[in-house]
Amino acid sequence: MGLTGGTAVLQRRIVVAAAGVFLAALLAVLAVALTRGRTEIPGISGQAPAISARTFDGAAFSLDDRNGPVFIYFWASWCVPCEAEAPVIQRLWGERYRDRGYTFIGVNMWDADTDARAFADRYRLTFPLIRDEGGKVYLAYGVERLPMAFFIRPGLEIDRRYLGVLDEADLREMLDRLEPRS
Amino acid sequence: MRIPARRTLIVVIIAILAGVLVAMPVGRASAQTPDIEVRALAIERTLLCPQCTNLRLDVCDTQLCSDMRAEIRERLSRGESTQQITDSFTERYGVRVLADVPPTGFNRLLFVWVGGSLLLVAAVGGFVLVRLRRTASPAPEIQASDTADDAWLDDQLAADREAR
Amino acid sequence: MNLADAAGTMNPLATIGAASLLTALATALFATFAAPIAHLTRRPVLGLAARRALIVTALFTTAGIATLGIALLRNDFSLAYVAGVSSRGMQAPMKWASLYSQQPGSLLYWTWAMSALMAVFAWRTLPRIPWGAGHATAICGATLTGFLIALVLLASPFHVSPVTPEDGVGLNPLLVDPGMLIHPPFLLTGLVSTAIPFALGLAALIAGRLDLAWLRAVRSWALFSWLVLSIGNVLGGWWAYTVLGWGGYWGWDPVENSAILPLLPMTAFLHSAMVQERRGMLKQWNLALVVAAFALAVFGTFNVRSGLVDSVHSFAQSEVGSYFLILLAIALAASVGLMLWRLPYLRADHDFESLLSRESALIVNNYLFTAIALVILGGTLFPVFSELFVDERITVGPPFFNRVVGPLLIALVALVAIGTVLPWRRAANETLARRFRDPAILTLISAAALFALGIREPRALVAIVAAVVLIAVTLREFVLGARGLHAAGHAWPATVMALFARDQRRYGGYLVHIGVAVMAVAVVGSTIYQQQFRVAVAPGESFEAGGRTLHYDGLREHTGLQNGIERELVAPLVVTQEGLTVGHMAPGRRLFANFPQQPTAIVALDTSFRDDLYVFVQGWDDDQVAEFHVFVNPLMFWLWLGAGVYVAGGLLAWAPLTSPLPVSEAARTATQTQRA
Repeated sequence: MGLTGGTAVLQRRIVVAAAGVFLAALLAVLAVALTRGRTEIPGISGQAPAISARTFDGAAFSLDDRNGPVFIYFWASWCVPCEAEAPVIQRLWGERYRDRGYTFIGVNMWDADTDARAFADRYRLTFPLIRDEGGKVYLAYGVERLPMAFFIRPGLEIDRRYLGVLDEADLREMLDRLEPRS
Repeated sequence: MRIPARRTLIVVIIAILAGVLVAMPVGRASAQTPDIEVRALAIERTLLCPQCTNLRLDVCDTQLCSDMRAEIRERLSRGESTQQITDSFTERYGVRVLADVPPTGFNRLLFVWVGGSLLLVAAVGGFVLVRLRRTASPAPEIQASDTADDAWLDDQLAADREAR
Repeated sequence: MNLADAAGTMNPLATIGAASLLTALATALFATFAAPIAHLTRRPVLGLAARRALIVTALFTTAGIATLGIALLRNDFSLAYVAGVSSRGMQAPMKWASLYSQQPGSLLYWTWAMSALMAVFAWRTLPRIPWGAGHATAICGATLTGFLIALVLLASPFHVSPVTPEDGVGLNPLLVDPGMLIHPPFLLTGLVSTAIPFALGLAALIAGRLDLAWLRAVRSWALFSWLVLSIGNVLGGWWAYTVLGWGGYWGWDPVENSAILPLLPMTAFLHSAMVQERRGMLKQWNLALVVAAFALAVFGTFNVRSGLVDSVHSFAQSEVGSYFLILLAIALAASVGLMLWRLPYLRADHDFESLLSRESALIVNNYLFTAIALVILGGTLFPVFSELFVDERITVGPPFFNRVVGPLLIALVALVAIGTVLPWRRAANETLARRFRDPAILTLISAAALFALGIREPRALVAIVAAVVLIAVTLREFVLGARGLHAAGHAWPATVMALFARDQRRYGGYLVHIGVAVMAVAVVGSTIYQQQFRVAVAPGESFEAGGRTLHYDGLREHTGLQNGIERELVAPLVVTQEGLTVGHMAPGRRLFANFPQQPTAIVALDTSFRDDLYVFVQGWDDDQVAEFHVFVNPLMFWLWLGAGVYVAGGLLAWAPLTSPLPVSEAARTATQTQRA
């Protein structure tokens, strides 16, 4: 083609190619990120924050008094998955874990008092329920959406924080893990 | 007649400066708000709602945010420092509740990216500016091969139709 | 697939809509393949057919969008999309927002706007560029095909749901606002319009003709794209300010960033194109800029639709995201490949005479725009990297961008002022000294004055001084130009009109610069000098804000509203200043029947030349004691006024007021000789 300045063209080719490689790498990273899905949201671990409140029946409740495993369930009457989970939790509590020394506690949040009580009556919940007026408890546990549950080993150490819908098998497995191995 | 350019401009500029100064609340006290409220608002502005995306805590209307705001006030009145309060929220909700990226760990790469971009642009740019001063000759041309003129083609098609 | 759905339930609108889109896909494919075949086999009639296929594609996408519009108006809830975004209680005009409020509809609007612009392009511009018409047709066709495939296969708005609901869900509460009727169409149109400079760029590259003919063809399209994108961004900011209720207009949200990113290379292009026009330099760079603008526009749609980046505006996560990533990869690979192939033809025709010249200022302007774009892109994507590489979710929020992009924007304003003073090519030192003397004095005086009077924040000081000097030197250009025309015999009042008539682009551009300077001062005022406080007020009490007294008298409830609004609770405020009633404000909260968990704020504004009072209600108790959240935003009026000047300048630069470009005379004479 009778072009002069071959080295200049080569230099510029290198620049364009470098830009191309950079863009390709960027797109590859985006593609990997897309297929990998989202990271789980971080939350608290270690010692469970203290809870001290009155239950729906007016009894005093304090987490410090408990020495067995603890299951803390955050719920609201408008939370759709809670409607499916609450009966399961109630059943497991009555049939299995209450007698094994577990503490179950349901923390009602972002809710109206009457709605919460109606929900508890409808599903005949008998494990301790407290109303988190002012949000002290759920804020301490870093709850940001519902349903959310905490599994706590004896000695009040958080074993696991669970965000999302629980099914019965998973729930049993996570609860059983809390018992001190003999 | 000449437009008194300089005088006109001076008047315009003085008007702009005066306007700016009248509008800016320079040294005007933000009055009426108690100290804790001011400090709480300052903290709220550095935090984001954990539920919503990219919404500052001070302007978010969810129950969560309103409870968080109450907690900030309570902790301030207990004498906790801004740092303590911010740290306790990041412990519970992760660093994503910080409006500003903490310049630690992996996040340093963001600043490397910024610095790198600026350096790259400056270096390549400077090089190109100097290089552009060299003489260049006109680039060769490729001849266009197709003539595409709608009017002409329409004429051709009409002629074809008539011929038929 | 859609056709089958539709046929099963015999829904005529769904069938017509899906069939229109399928036909549009077919005609776009025809354009894509017929154009290169016509070029290779030298069959101009086939080439013409390919070009007209682009126009036909636009007709069919128009039929598609019209069908969806009719389905919305007729409350045809058998269409899943209609049921998801509209309801019987919605007024007809608000349904225009429903049309593009979710993924499939917005994609349809996007594709429709793109095909409409390409039809205008095929009709008006392509006949004038015989050297690249075929290539441009193929690229337009391929681009349209890419989006039509997504529309037909991945996110069709014409899916028929198995059960027809009695009523639709209605529009998302945040979108129930008149502002939603105009800002998304402008933004989407602006984003798609980048496809045309891109198609022209690649066509010119294939033809090896990145010359003045290319520049002339691409210029008005690039200006159009830049103008519409700018308007879209301004309207988006205005919507955010008046509706979202956080006291500001620009939050550096990933989607806002995606909307502004393509604007940066486009603006850079408008400036560097001047350098190519006058000096024949920067061909490759100009090409890279139009490619970057389009790539960033596609990246933006990917960003909004993939769910990869958390944003207030994003659509739900979907497979469309990965599809757009592939489209983006194809566009970039094609551009880089073609550039490598055609590099030898991209040499500069002229050299560069002095570093102290307007062309070098324009080039440095490009560096700044590049740096700004890189930084914004990095900040937008960094949360993705953080999650991918260290499993940590982070937010790159406004503090980062303000700190990093702020100084670059200030530098840009200062550079525009310097560039306005610098002459083209080369000037004697004495000339330079003379031209710079007054601006230099002005810089010192205004800096000293501002400092003495209390503007001590360094960024504010530098930004305001740069803006003031920019306004001054730009006005000086107007005065000098007018004086020249007056000397040539024009009467004074007519000289300004004559200026614009003589060089629309230049003086339009200057007007844009003045708009930018005014906006810069307003941005400094409304961000750095913003005041904010909360106040709890019982009915019958008053409070002070921004030199005004606001009196509160209790809550009012409004019912019987439309567009899915169940009721509004409003806390009316009477604004008085020195005992005189100067205004009424009505902040409150809007509750929606179908979205009980999602009340929206009603923002109330009291605007003056000096500042905006920006009030919303953050809550109230049983005794109607309301908590007001108040912002005092200085100079906000000037932000919108500056934006108006910017847009007016842009329109002046773009509008074909002077005689339009002649149809390629050369081509016509060539064909006439051929015929003879």
